[in-house]
Amino acid sequence: MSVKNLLIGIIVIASLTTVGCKRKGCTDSTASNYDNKAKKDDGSCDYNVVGNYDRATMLTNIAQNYIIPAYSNYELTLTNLKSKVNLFNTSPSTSTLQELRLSWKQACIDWQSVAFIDFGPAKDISLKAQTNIFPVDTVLINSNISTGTYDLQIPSNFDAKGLQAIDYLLFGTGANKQAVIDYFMNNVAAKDYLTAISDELKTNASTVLLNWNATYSEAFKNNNTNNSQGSAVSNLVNALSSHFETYVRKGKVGLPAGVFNGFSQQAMPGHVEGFYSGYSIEFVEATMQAMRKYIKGNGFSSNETGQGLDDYINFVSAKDANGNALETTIDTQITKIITALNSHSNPLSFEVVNNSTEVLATYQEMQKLVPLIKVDLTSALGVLVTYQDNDGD
Amino acid sequence: MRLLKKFFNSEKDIAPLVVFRILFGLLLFFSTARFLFKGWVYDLYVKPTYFFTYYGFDWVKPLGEVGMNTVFILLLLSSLLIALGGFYRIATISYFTLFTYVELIDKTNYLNHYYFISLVSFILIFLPANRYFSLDVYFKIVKEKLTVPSWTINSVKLQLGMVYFFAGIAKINYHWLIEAQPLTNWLKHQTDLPVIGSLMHYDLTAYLFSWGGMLFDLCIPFVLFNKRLRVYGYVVVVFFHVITAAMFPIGVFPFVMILSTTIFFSTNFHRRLLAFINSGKSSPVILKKTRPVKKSTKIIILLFITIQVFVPFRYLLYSGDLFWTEQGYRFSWRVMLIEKAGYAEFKVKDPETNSNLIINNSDYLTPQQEKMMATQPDMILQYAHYLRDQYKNYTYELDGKTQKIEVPEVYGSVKVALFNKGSRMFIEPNVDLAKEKRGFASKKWILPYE
Repeated sequence: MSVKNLLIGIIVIASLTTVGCKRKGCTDSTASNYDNKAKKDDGSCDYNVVGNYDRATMLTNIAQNYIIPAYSNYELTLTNLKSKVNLFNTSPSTSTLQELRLSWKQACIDWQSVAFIDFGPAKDISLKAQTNIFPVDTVLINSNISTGTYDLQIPSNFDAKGLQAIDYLLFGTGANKQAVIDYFMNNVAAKDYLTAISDELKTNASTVLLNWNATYSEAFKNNNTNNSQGSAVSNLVNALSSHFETYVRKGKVGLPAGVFNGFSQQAMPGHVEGFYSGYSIEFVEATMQAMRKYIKGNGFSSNETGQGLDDYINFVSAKDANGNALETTIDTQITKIITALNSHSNPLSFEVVNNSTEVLATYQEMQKLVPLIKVDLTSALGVLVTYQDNDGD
Repeated sequence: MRLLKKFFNSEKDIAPLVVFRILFGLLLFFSTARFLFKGWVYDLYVKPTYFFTYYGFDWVKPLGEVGMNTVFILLLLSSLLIALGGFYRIATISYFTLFTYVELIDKTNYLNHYYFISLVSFILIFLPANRYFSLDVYFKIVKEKLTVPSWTINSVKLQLGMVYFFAGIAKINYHWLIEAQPLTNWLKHQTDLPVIGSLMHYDLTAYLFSWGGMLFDLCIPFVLFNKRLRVYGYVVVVFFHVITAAMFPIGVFPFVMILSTTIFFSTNFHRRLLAFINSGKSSPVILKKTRPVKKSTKIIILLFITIQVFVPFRYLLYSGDLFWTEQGYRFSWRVMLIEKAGYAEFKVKDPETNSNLIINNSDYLTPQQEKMMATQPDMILQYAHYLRDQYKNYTYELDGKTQKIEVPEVYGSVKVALFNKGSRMFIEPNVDLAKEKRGFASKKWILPYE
């Protein structure tokens, strides 16, 4: 009895001390896996391959080469938008309107590149809700214009401002360019409103960029010790996942297509982004391109490849259900979505009514990307999609 | 037979039982206070509109904000009384009943260590742990006793031993030992751990932890039961649980085990500990001769043990990979053995008009509930039934006509990734879940793992 117990005891202790023997490691400080706590060199020194995935490098790359340049670019476009608004307001004409419209369209496209960075400074000021709610409430916009008294900061005005309110003002206030010009010529209050909302867009963008530059980018890079809730990797992935699922797949395509419209599932063309201008499909495509860049860790303007989520999931050899590299599967799915989007030659508001089969096919391609990001990508990174702190076992 | 006799028929110093009562009572107090302090009473038992009850316990309902907070205050009070040994019988009955009630409300919150607390607080009801160094003795509610029948202390030891042993048995499976899953996935991201962080990306580390954990769980009960080895065993217990506490978000569980296992220490240790707390006063204990244990007591204890021996193996009655189907998964000491993530989308169909409605899960479930439901078939079915009931007799407009759903059908499109091996279809998407029955029968609509 006691001999047997002794033996078992020895096995247990021996097996656990092997696990627990932590004083050995690489003692060469020039090696990539140098362990300053190790007392005895165990020959594990590694000089070429990085032993552990270097999250700090990835986060630094994403912050320095994507996030900050993307916000800077968005801010710059909004500065341009402001000047075009000013130009149009002082001398309304077909050409100034055209310039203004183009500048606005560029702002919308550039917005898609930062919309999914919905954590930290952007989250703090609810940038997404302040910038791009659709459909806009045209009744509210008109009453704001006619009364001239409004507080754009209160949430009840969120669907009367932002990029989509400008969509209405520049494209929806008249049947053609001249009609829009006439609308503004006779309406100084509308000019003021246009100025107010474009000023606010720019102010919000500047606030976020300033925070990233001042303190948040350091905090973001340093928040890299693990991938648990609240870590930089977790914030980044959760924001990306929820943005795509809720605001892109559902908001930009599913809702207008009628997928979520109760039992009738009737199309809701009025729910597309850029309803008045008809650029909805271009905006979705811009989103998909930006998401791809972001996942790949590419530079925003240089488009140079750096360490990104794709490198991280390759590092942990994440595979999809068929054993293919998850990175490739996600990338392929994004390509399929873009191809499907390109098959629509008319504005989405037209397509959902007249070409619903193809729109639903496009939606299905987007739907396939949801579990790939929400389940496969997050679990490959050990990011728990937990929204709530709790005990575990 | 000799072991059985040893288990029941001797008289032991009460000290280990008293120390256990105090430590366990304080742990319960701390753990309940933490629960309240973190606002989980509201998050888990007040905020949700729907609760995933256990099959056969659908009558268990939460009591609203005031009610649930009262329950937790009572739990706090009961745990304190258990530690102090005041109104001990009432306190233990109240703790066991209220705690088990809370756990039965929603299986979303199932944790092995909550199950453990239910079992131990149940055992405590029957143990004379208040017969020494207690308020009950101080106020002369019960007579002081210096000795207790051996089965009282042994029941607690056996319960603890079973937890470890079955946790060890559960680790003897293909995923854990041969693939070193889920540890391989988890450790890769644990590189920030002090000292051992740099070892985490080696596959070998995951294997060492997996095999080491299995051997630890299987052996530790025997080591602790052995007089000469238990000191070493305890050192390993502390080491093991401290490591797991540092690595995983497992709350108070490691500390529950570290403190509970002190019951294996010698009588002498506990006696001196009590004397120390009791400012040096200690009475010498004379062990009386053995008293016979009532036959009914023996039968109840043996039954309690037998049930626990069989429950973890009920999964053998089901076909398919246990980790995929999770049929017979709970109440079996499978601690940190699985990594599963899922995405579930449901639609309600009106068969009369063939029209579908896509469900937005967050309209009905909390994020935590949605996450747990998406990977567990019994919860998927419960939720589908809840949706069916929500849409029965629901009216809607279609092509200008008002329709009413007589018999709603519910379909789930669920994708699940097990051990991070890629998401794949989890259940038959064309099976009307509204018509499937709940219960212990095998769920045929779970797709085989492919």
